[in-house]
Amino acid sequence: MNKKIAKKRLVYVGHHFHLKTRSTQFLVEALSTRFSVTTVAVDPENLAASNLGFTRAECDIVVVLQLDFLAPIFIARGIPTVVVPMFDGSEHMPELHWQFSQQARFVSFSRHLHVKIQRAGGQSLLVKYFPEPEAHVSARKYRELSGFFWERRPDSGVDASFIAKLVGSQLDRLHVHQARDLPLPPGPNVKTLFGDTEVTTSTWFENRSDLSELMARSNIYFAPRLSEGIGMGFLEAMAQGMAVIAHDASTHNEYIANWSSGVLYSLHGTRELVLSTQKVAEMGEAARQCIAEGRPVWLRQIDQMLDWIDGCPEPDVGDLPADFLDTEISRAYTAGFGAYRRFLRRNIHLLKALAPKMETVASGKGSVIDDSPALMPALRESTIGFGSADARQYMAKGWSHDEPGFVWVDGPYATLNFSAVGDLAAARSLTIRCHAPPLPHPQRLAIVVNGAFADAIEVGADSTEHTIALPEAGLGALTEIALFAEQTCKLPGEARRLSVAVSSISFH
Amino acid sequence: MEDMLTAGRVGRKALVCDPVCVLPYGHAMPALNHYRRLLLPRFEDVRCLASKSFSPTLAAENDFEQAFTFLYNKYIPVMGEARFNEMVKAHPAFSDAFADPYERVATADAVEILGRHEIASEDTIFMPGADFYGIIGFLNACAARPAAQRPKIFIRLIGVLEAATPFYDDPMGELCRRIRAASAAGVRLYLSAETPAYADYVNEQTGLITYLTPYPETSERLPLPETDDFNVLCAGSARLDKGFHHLLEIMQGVHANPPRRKVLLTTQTLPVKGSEAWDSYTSQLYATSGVTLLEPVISSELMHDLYRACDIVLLPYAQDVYRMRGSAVMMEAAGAGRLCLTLRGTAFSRQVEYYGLGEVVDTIQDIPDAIRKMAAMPRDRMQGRIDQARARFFLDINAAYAHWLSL
Repeated sequence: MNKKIAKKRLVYVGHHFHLKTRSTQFLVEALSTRFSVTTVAVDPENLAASNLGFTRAECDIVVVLQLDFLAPIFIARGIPTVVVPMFDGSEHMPELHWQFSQQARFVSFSRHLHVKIQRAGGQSLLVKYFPEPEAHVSARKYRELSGFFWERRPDSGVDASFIAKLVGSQLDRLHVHQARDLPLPPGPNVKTLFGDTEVTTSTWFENRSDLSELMARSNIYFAPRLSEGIGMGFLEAMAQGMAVIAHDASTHNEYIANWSSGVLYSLHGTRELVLSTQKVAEMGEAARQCIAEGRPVWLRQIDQMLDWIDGCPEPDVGDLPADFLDTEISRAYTAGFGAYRRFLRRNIHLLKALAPKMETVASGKGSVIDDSPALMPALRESTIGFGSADARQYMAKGWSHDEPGFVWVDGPYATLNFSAVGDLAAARSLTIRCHAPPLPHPQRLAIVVNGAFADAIEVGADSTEHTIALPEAGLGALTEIALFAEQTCKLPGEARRLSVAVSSISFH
Repeated sequence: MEDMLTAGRVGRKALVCDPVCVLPYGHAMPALNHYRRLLLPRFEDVRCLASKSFSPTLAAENDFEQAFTFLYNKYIPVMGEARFNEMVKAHPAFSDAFADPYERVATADAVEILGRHEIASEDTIFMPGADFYGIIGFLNACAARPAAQRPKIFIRLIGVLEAATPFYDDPMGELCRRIRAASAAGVRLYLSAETPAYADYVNEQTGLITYLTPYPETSERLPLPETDDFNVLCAGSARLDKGFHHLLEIMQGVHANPPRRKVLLTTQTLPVKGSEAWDSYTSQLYATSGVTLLEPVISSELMHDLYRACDIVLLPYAQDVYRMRGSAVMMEAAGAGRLCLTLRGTAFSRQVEYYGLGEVVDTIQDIPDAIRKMAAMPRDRMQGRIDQARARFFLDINAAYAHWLSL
């Protein structure tokens, strides 16, 4: 007897803005072919109003679009979690951000983000979206240079004045759509910026067909933002045979082959581009061809993506503090990028449970121990006194020069390597004497011994001793002590980024 | 091959040893299996020995013994350095005090292996991709044995890890000196190298006749694909010394004057860690029409499918790095029945030219034009050329192995 197998219940958590613009509707449609999808729209500014309280019993898989920071919350509830991060939103996220979601699976629409996640130890599937290409483009389209620019984010530097710098008065016609994402004060009169170019403007299209008509007449598309998560706008333009002129960043530079299927520029040091109708026509056709070739590849990738999501394993919940993550991670994220980074660092110890399969905690750069055990210095004394030649042999990465009685950590990270000999192998605690440079907030310093978090201490401007317990494994024949500081500061006339000055470390 | 090797058993027991067989992918694991098959007709018993750090599951599946302490983490980083150092230091023979602490480990491993397998003079140690410490360990272990208990040692040099040691200013010179000394002391050593240039160099350095033994035939000839597109495969792991950074220029050159058949290029990408400086370059390669980028590590099944689907194999290898070295991919391509395209100046380009295994050009800038010419070659003509080159190449290889192993 054939029983119909019920579809897995999938909760799709998306940014309310994307759900409104339907820019990722293709993803929801793809998911719906395999899963029973419930959509939850989230406004990051008002998380409390979002219905995020579902449990493992209520859903089989959760897919989080763009709001990567939510993933650890669902992981802690034991729900198989798939994250679809967007390059424009997550480009600058620290390694810890990805490591906190190490038990999730990722689907990356940006290659750049894909390798970034892999470098942090995450599992990512790279996919490349292509829209439906225009079947035929009229040759008339390429008889003149006709541009379209939607001035969405003038605050990013990509505004009409900048476009004028790029193309001067070379275009025959240019349409500037002045509907901005943010309520910003109006810029200069765009009609005065482009010399002889015939400039038209709009702020609203009554019908989508008006926009389509305008696009159909244009052959140059100026990408409106510095980077994209997927880039529906410029991909549609490529699909219509337009030469896209875009900032050299993901995902633009993953679709546009420079001066072949479009033009990539750097925001800084840009000179006027030299365009011709023939070159624009060639690039427009190459762009449309690129979309036409990519479309069937994307359609084949959909199944692979669904399999990847379907096969997402249940996380190992262990002793994860689900309630703590439920409230605090969202609070830290909405408190700002800096606050979120500091939150992750302060809670580095959670990685033990959040990322149980990670070999090396925290830095992701792997151990920095010298490659030859023969060169690993033995430590016999119970104290390392900094600022002396003796200590230098143990100081591997991140240390500045010796100063009387201490050494600064130059940057946020430094390591010590040594082989603990004799009684030291049995040490159970360490005392560190250190001080911080003048900082707006107290310095926090995380201490990691052989990849295991030991403790985080608060360091002030006065030199003070702090005693902490060593992790259970203690020191060893090959010990690495890593210091991670939360803040750095650059003093006038200093090339260094100072974070903490260490005077001594003793073992007991 | 088998016919030439079944002329009669020449030994009792053969240990096929690769202390560098540590990765679950790449050439080392299949190589051990291939050489076991190659030696089986000649010996009563053939055993394969890999690194102790090789996957226990794969070792069980392949019937490999995990025998050698892995000493090359600097060159093939399979574990965190702290863990590596801890593992080496835990070896009873390790001591910081000696000039070369790894040599003691390797020698102890070799002594233990010879003892445990009850190796005697009628037995053979065969090293299909010899490494510095593997060789040194066995030379030391044999030298310490009475002549009646010394096996023959067959060393196949492939120019990868023979000089992989941090403890000598001239590691290759040191290795050759040790080989020369061991041979003079009565250890029965038989050398071969993967390329003619390397064989001549080793002969010059050691004074020993060095045979030429490229990788034996390992795969069936695959028919050329019947596609309109022209599929170019840049096979094997992506590395700068394998020309990954030239691929964009090559494809731009192809697109500047495209042939009738659309050229498609498939390649793996650089290892994710340590390749940050190449992210923008890789993005542009990813954006280039006709380019498919694969993950840095792919399965052997996928690799086989890629050989099946391609028309030619592109090897824009660095001439300086490959001055002596062979290319396993070139040999695999020959086995699969694919012509390759490479640069003149590498050791293996001499073999490509001599056997007609593909096209050889002088510079990267010449490659797009060579691709155009190869794409214009009628399929039956290309197939005929492959068959001829392949037959000559493997006939010579089979004869070389048969003769070498009968020494």
